[in-house]
Amino acid sequence: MTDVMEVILAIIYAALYPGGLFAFFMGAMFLWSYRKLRARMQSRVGPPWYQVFADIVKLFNKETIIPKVAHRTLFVLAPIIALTGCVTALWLLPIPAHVLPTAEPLVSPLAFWADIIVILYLLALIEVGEIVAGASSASPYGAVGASRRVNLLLSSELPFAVSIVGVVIFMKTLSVNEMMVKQAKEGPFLITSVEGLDPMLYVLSVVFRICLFISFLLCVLAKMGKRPFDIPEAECEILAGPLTEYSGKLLGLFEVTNALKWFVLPAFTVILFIGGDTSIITFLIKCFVIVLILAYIDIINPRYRIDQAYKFFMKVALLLSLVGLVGEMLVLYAVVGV
Amino acid sequence: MAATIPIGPYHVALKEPIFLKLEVEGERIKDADIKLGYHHRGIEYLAMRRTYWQNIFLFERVCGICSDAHTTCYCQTVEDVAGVTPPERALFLRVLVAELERIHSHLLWLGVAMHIIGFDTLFMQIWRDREYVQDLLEIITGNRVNYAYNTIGGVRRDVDEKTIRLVKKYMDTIKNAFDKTVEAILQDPVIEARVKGVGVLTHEEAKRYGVVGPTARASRIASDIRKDDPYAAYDRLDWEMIVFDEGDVLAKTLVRVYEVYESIKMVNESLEKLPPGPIVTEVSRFPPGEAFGRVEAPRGELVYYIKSNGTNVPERVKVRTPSFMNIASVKPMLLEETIADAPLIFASVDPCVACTERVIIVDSRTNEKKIMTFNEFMIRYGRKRK
Amino acid sequence: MKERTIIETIKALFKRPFTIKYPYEPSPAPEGFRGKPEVDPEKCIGCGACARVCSAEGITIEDKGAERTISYFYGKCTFCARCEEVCPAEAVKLSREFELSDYDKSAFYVKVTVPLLTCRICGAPFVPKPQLEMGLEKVADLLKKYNIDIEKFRQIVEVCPNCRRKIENIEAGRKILMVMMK
Repeated sequence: MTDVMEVILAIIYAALYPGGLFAFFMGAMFLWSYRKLRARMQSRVGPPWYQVFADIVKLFNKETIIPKVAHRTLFVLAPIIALTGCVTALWLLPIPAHVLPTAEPLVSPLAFWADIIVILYLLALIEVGEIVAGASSASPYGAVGASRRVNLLLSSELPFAVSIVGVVIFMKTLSVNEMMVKQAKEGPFLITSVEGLDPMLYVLSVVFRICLFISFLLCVLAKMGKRPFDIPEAECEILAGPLTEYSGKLLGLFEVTNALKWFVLPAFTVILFIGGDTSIITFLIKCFVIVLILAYIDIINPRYRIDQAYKFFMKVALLLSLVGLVGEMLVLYAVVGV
Repeated sequence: MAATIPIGPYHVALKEPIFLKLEVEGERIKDADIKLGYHHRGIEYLAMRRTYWQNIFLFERVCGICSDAHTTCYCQTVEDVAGVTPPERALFLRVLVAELERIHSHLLWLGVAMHIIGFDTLFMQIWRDREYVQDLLEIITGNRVNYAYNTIGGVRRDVDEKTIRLVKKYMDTIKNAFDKTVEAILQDPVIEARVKGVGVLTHEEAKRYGVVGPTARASRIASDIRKDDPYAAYDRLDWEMIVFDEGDVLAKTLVRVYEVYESIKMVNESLEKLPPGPIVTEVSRFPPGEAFGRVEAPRGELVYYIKSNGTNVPERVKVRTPSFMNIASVKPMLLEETIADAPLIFASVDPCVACTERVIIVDSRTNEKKIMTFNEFMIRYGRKRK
Repeated sequence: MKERTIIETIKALFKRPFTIKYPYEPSPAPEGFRGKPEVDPEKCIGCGACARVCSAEGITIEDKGAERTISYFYGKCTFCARCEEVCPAEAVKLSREFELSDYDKSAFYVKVTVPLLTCRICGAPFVPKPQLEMGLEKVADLLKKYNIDIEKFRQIVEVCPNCRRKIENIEAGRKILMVMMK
């Protein structure tokens, strides 16, 4: 009996709340708040709150055109790959389901199935979907967009992984679920302390962790395709980049992925760095703060060129994450002696 | 691996149809081909079928952005043919509208340039400030774009005290807002990374291609019709020509930025020195003859040639727009740059394609210096067998 | 770095938006805007000066029977205000209205009908009545100066140019014309 209940709970969790529909709704809201903030900071009025939904509904009602010269199977598969990656990553994230704070965080029943490395792969799958989309569409803009996406993925994945390793070493676990539980007990990763850490070293350690955090955020920006790293979709140069040839339902799927991305990536950031929530409300507020930070960086920046972005990730982001990682390890070594 | 990237004829970064064919290796541009001819409208032919008065409004529509420059040039040339001089007040009013137009055109370009490098926030803010200039033009001339302000022998509307006060007030607003914009542009490291040293047009190349306007002034060619061959009331105003050495996109941006300041100065000065009197001289007939006129449009030197046969319809009108000279110079700028910079470099000469489309450019590639004979042409296009 | 951009964006956030939701909020044009040309059929004398100068050739004249129709086609109008400039009766005024789009093409046409005067002799219509009246009004003082009876004068001018050429030797008409020409 309990087994059946658990399965039903898991399905509800995955399809409705807090995975699935709820996450999609929140992602759309985050996307809207980004667009609205952007509009207001540019002295514009901005879209109404239902704009994202209206766009998606419109796209699903439109005719899907597949170019004759495109690779048909891959062309159709690409948005599905991206969406699959995004949704699966969402299911594996331990999102607190309780409305009010509780002693023990109720987290995803699915989250026990995989560790952080799988999530890393799944998040890359979103970008792989775009690359496949661009490469299969037989459009020069799509091809250039795909090649830029590959470049960006290659350059951002390394600092992204290194900063995650920094978190993992401190947490001493690979499971995101355990990270969440641990943070709930000991406080968010960014400011938590280890037993026997003297204040000076603590401050130093926090600085290192902030380095990791910044590097991570920069990579998230690249994954979201936001300025200054929206190079694959640089509209003035290569139209919509990989998505140039897409229309109708297939583009609608990409839009759904995009809306979900606005929830998944901030949520992932929160879980890794400032997690430990037992209530969905504080969790969403933290996500929103991350969204605001990302949105604001997007607003005040122009776009890098792809070679400049590559250099930036190799020089700045990778350096930051390595400094954070090595520093963190040294501090831990000094205290624990492992 | 070399690939061909088409930019245009229809492309988001291009406001008008033009075809840039880029041969690329990876992201580097190895060769570029510029093709015009998608936007031919036959304006010169139309002009030969309309009266001089109707033509004012026709030439205003040659270009949507520098429409005042076109009518000024046209009216000046016709005045030359007819042998009349517009009254002093009209000359100062022409400067007023021309400089307002230059401000609006340069701000528009600046906004577009920011949009191309992806800085939409500054783009929106620049266009927000530009709205004040548009409002002024609307109040002074009666419309936001095709002003219909010039007429043969003067201008069509006068400014009153209230308008003058408003212009001065708005000029202060624009100057304040623009100060901030310029500060933001100059501060930004990412903008600098995108525009500095990109798309360099050397002094020699600039001379070879005969570029005009801000493009030329960014490459150390001190040429400005307002100084070289003063028309309207420019010789009675105090202003400076902006010249930069580098020839890259940054220099082209800065030339335009400082020209906006000069224009604001000139607008204020022309209002202060505005003499009283009539605004139009009567023109009754156009004796046979020909005339040649030029003005400094926001994009550079604009040339009109008019031949009259004594009727009220011109026998021939020839227009040479500044973009005609500038577009060809995009090619040396594009070589060895990346695709990401191509739209920016192309936009940096502020091309106005619709204005230019009156002539066919025959562009021979650098390495293949082959000029097609008529026979070859017929064979190639299937009119004749080998 | 980016202080100025940051300050400006934050400032913009707390200011009202510069743009408006245009079709839902009105955006009136300023005083002196050249919008849709409006013709006052009461004032129009049917002279056709506007059709002659119209730079877009959007104003056409059609004479049919004893009526002259001047049609303004807004689809071609470039709002240059030349018609307003040349109209002797000040019948054309460019209003501030600029929202002219419509599903129905006939909405772009404004037609003014002016009666034509028929020739006293051959009965062919040749000049719009109000135009003649206006012309007569203008010369009224002159006629008084030369002591010419206005009604008599009217009889002469109400003859079409064709007939006038034929009847050139009508005594009274010739006399008046001679006096006028002096």
